[in-house]
Amino acid sequence: MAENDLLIEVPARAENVALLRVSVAAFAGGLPFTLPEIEELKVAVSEAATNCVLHAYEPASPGRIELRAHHRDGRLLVEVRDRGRGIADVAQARQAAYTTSSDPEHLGLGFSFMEQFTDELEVASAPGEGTTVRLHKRPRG
Amino acid sequence: MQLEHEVVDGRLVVRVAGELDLRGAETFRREVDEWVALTGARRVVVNLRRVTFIDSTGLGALLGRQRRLLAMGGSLAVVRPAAPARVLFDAAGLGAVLPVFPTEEKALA
Repeated sequence: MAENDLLIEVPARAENVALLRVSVAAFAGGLPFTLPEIEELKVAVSEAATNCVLHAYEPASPGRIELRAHHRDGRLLVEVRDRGRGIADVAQARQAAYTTSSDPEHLGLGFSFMEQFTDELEVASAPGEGTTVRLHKRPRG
Repeated sequence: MQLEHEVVDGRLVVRVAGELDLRGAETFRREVDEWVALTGARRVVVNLRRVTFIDSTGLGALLGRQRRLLAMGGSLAVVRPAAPARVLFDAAGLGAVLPVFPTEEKALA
């Protein structure tokens, strides 16, 4: 199957989360994913993009979300990147139910769902240098 | 996302269609809280049959409404989304914390 790649950059705003996950779902149609696998991918991308909107930038200085995807050798890689404040302790942030949000309705399950719905999750981040999340997924069939 | 509501036998029924993500969840929270205040209903059924996508922010909004209603002496029941939006809903094990029904009729029975 031919290689392909995708690059999208959008303002980190709530209304763009759907645009990103639907774009990745369409892009993933180039690989033999099942519909439930595509849904899993949409949830993982949605969680990554939502984190950028909620946590990456100060309200006074909004930034952007960069999304890259490529498929090669039958596997898909999706990279979701922000240039925001970054995460000091990535291991802590990845723990289930951990959140820095003061809103009790933010469950802190974003990374758990990214992990659960992909084959591999990588998180690279440092304070002041933004965060890059890499989601790897391969069709199970 | 579209929302409609109706009071049935003193219970507030909220029907949700579309995507319950970060943007949808903000609207959902605001509207449901307002309808609860306006109708005085404390028992709420949220019908998710026509929801096409749900993520952790959608789940958070559901659990947040449940918390508010329980604090008022009320309750929240949910009608399970149709596939494919069910992926996360089932994986999250929501049935353990929320009463989940297959149909609106059963939720209201």
